[in-house]
Amino acid sequence: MLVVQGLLGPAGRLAVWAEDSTLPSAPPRRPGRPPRRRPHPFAAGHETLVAALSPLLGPVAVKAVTGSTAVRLPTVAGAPVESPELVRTQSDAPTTGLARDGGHADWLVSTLEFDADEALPVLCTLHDVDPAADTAPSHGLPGDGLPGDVAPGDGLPGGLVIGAGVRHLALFAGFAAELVARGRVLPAVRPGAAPGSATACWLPLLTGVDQRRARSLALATPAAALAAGAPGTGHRRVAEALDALTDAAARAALHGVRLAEGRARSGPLAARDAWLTALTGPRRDFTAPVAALDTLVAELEHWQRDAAGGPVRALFRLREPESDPAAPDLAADGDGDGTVGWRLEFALQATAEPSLLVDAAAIWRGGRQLQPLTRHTADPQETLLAELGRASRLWPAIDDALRTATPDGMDLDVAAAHRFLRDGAPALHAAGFGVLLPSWWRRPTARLGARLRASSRTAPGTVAVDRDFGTSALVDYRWEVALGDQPLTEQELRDLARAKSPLVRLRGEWVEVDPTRLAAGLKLLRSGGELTVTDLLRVALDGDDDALPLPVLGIDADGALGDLLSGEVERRLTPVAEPAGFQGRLRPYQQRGLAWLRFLDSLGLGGVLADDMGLGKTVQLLALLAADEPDAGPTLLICPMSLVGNWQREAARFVPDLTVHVHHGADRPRGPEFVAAVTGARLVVTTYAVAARDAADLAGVGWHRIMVDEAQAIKNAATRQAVAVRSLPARHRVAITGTPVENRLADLWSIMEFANPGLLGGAATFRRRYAEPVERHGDAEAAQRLRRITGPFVLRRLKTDTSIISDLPAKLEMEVVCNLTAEQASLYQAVVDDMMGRIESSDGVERRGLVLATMTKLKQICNHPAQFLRDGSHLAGRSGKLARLTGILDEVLAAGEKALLFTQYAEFGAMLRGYLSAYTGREVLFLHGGLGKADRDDLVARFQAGGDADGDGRAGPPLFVLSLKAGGTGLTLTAANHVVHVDRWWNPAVEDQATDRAFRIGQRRAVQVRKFVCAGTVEEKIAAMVADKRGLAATVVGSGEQWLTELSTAQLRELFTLEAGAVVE
Amino acid sequence: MSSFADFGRPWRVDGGLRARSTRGAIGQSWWSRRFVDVLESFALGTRLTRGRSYARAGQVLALTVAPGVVTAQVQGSRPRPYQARIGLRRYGDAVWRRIEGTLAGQALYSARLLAGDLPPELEQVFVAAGAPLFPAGVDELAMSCSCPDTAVPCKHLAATCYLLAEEFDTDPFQILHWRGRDRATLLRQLRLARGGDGPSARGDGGAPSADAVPPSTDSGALPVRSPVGAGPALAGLSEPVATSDAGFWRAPVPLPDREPVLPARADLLLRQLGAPSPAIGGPGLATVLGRAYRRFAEPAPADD
Repeated sequence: MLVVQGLLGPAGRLAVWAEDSTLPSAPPRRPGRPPRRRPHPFAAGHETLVAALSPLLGPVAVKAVTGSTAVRLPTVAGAPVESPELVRTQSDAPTTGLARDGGHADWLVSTLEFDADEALPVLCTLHDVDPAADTAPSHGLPGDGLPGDVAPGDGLPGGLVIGAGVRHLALFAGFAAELVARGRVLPAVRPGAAPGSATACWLPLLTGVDQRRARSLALATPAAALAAGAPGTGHRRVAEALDALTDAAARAALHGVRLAEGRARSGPLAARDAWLTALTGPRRDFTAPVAALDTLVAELEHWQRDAAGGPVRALFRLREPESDPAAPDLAADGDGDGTVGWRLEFALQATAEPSLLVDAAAIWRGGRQLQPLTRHTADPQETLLAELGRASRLWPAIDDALRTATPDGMDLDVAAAHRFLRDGAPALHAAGFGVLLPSWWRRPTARLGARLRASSRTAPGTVAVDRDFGTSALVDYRWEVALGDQPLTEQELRDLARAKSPLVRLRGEWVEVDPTRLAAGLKLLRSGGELTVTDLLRVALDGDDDALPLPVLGIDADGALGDLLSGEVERRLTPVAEPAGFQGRLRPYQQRGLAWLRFLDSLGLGGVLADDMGLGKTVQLLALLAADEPDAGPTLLICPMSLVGNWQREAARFVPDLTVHVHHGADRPRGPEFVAAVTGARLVVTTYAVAARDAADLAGVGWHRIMVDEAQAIKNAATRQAVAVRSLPARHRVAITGTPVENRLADLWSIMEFANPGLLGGAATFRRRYAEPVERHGDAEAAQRLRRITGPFVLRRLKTDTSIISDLPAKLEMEVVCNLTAEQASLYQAVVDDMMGRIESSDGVERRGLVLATMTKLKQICNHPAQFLRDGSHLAGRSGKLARLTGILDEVLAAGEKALLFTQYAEFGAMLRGYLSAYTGREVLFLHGGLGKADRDDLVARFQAGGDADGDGRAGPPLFVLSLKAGGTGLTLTAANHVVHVDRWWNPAVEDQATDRAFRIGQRRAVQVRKFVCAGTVEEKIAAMVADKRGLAATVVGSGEQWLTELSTAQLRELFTLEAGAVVE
Repeated sequence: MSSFADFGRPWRVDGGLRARSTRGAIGQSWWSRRFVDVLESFALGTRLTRGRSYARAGQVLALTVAPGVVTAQVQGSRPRPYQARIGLRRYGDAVWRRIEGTLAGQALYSARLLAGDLPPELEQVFVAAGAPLFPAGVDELAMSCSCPDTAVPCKHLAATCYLLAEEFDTDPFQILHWRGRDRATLLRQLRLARGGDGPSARGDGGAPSADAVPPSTDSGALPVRSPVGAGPALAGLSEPVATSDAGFWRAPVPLPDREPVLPARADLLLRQLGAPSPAIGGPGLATVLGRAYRRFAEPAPADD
């Protein structure tokens, strides 16, 4: 395993090195004082680096300059401290991360070096390496080796982990690219050492928000990324890197563009043309006559001097007329009193201290009030004047206010106020002036828009299953014009049309009215007709502003459609009780979820069930299956491999009559055999990889329903498996995910495109209309519109919802069944075969020892092959438990919550800590028997710090690995509301005691406890015995593992033997 | 008459004041144009042309604006620089007080001046006060030069005039200074005039009186060094302390969430900066760079 680290050099140069877990952790001991600079004992060599990085980076890794760099690292006991991501499976004791103040020393590491032009794409690539990527090539797994259906973490070839330092540097690259995209850069020239030589560059212009971002990025830079180079030069190197990466990003954006026209002139503009030429392409240096170059330098500086404001800036605040409750509506109809009374007030604001705001009137009065401001400017009055003078260049209307001696604002009529809102304010704000606008401006509820009123042709009020109501059913519709969600009367509309004013007070609220759009809207009012449900949803929910004269604000409908669009359909529907054939009980919110699923099913519309983890999504879907008509046709379930076993077992438990067919494995049936195998099954379970591979066979079945579990797997719309899964025809579609999808909009599009194809429009349109406005500009209105469209089709309940919380027990225990990978299974089988032979031919103490050793080996294999083999091999994709664990932790972290992970093996704990910290990019704590009391107290305090996840989930490390023996008692860890027992000790008392670290006084939330067992293995069999208190006395079975030694060889064989079907690979 | 040497090549100068405009007319703003027009209206032919060349070649060693007189040292063809002097009637305090009274009445004048512009209305203010700001003809300029050339203006004076015009471009206060009020005094007087009832009213409140505030020459929108680049933006951050290992590999402080950014046209910066000087291509340069900014705003070639 390699952990990639990055070092920031001067001028944006990036040096990449890596820690190699296969190398010894300390240098060989030599007598005498250690030399000042020693070779780093476990830094990867150049060949290893190139071989590991070139699959990701391509030729740039091969061509990179190789070097050797001295890195100043924390050093303990003569060895450099390992990064927390590094996982050593055979290390004797986990020593990393806890030694304090051991001092620093210089270590020489082999590096690959990149200049800024190369560093930009390198960093972007490394940043995009998603540890949970489902698209990256997998590295030859044993067995079927299906690409794309491996556990999370397999995105990286050969156990390559991107260290936190590189990930942080990658944020610099992303920021630089974004500055360029927003045009916050300026072309500049830097004179060279020799007369007449210079370099051209694009430099970032960091004002306001961008300056704060740059400073935050600089402050959050890990010391590891700055460890090469003189101490105290860190921020200078960060600044140089931001400059150089911005320059690189600008040049990348200008690829193929030539700015200098024609050939370079020799006259007075020679320097300018040479400079323009050097602003694009890889070559930055140029020469020019000294005089011309001097002119260029001076003139550029002169030209750009106003680009960034000074320490104090003008602020413009627009106030609306005093609202008079008695004022008539539509007050701006020509002679009302809303035409005047608007006021634009001037003030000064300290740029670095925005709360320091002084009104112009106070500035003119002078006096003590100005004292805080004089920290930033010697003369506030002249600063105000100069700022107003600068602003008047961008917004000449300000001149009118400057006709008085001491202007503190200007009175505007309604037209001027509107012009300021529409044109002046954005220009002034973008140029760095402060602007404060009334809150109603551009707020959706203050906008005039169209509402669609639709009535279905089926009898209103029947929510019963209606087979005719599919997406192609016809509904009648007509348009209304509304202010927010209030329809306007005919009279009001006529008055609006008459008002020749862009801002009108309507029902006490100011509204922007565009006369041409209003006229078109009035025409729209008279239109109407009939549409299919799909078209109606698309037009009404995603109303295309280009085609419609007014923004579509909403839709009102009766009947089932109205229920759906209300956004509260789940609460309105009558909960559906457990259907016949369903063995188990549904909690009240699960009954509502079932009703929602049934309702969408009846409409032929797809849905996304996105309940919080632990709320029982699987159970709701199994109930849905149980409620299907017997002749409804089969359901196809697509899920990650690690969940196949769980689905099988849950289906058998809750719906015993359900005939389940698992379509997986190298010998799975194809063609006609497949059709035969599927016929008669009501649930067919397969994995994403198989679905992609066997898409043709699967498409031939008339599916009643397709469900995708862990739907994040199809979040990348362009991947083969996402395309294949979307292309499968079915009458009804359900996507299941516990990770909130609404945050990554591209993911949301892909999942909705599966559930309700076409609803969100094409990918490019979606990006233009939603993803970019929301993600790049924080456009609240676009986000709101998107929620309105997707809301009816997404059901997401949180554990903390008041309607849920009362249904949940304070402690929810779940057994989580994991699969074995083929590698685990073959190791398991080999150990059983070998050890059973030896147990048979032994007795007494030797036999006891062998039985316990067998148990240990099998449990290690169930945990991870690398724990059993102790070979330091990579971890990703080789263990069913690890795959499940990362899936669960994804959801824990996405919810901003914390988890305790218990294992009885310290060495596995160390592996988990390293793997998970690399996987999550967050610090993972590890408490084991080798720690002193002070260290333990420190870990507990840090984990508990920042409170629980009710507050800011980022406070304190979110994951805590504990060894069962060292951490199972005494501690209070109530910041966690998740407990995972990764392996088992078969002693409920011990496990409960460990669980109680979180579930105790001080815990204010429901605690979810998950106990892992591997399907078909000794783990599952003993778990069943403990649960059923069957076969052996519970007190014996439930008290550790000693009782195993008393079993007969035949009993042992039965217990150890791997059951068929344990492997799903 | 002059000796032969007077018509020889001028001595080359390093580090002289150099006209920023490299071709065509000198003087970008209306007010400096206004001044140059006076000079050029006399169509003095080759002397003006050579004066412009002098100005562009950096033959003017120093230029000082003082009330009523501008002095310059111009390197000619003799080793010793010539002394050029351009006198202009300076207005007395009484005139200035009238003018200041008007200027203080409307913030526009100070605002524009402080932002580096000379508002056109300012000219009317001076006319109304019976004291025109610009000279109406060359005869109002008392020009003299220590060179042997008898013509007035000689090329040294012409060069001085051109550089003076550019000085006005950069800092319009200099025109007023020439007429008798330096920037600091003018601003102080305007401040007093704005004070309404004057310093006494302020003194009553116990607030520091305006007089106590030393006149400042570096307030307002004086050009500062280019604010561009990450260096100034990160200035003043404390360097990270080398921590023990736990903090060594991770962000020492959490990175806050991003703040939203208002959408704006990608070429807004260019609009905000106005046209570059003609010396580097004028509005044409802005057009060329506008192509680059529009390209920045285009999304990268689609990857799907």
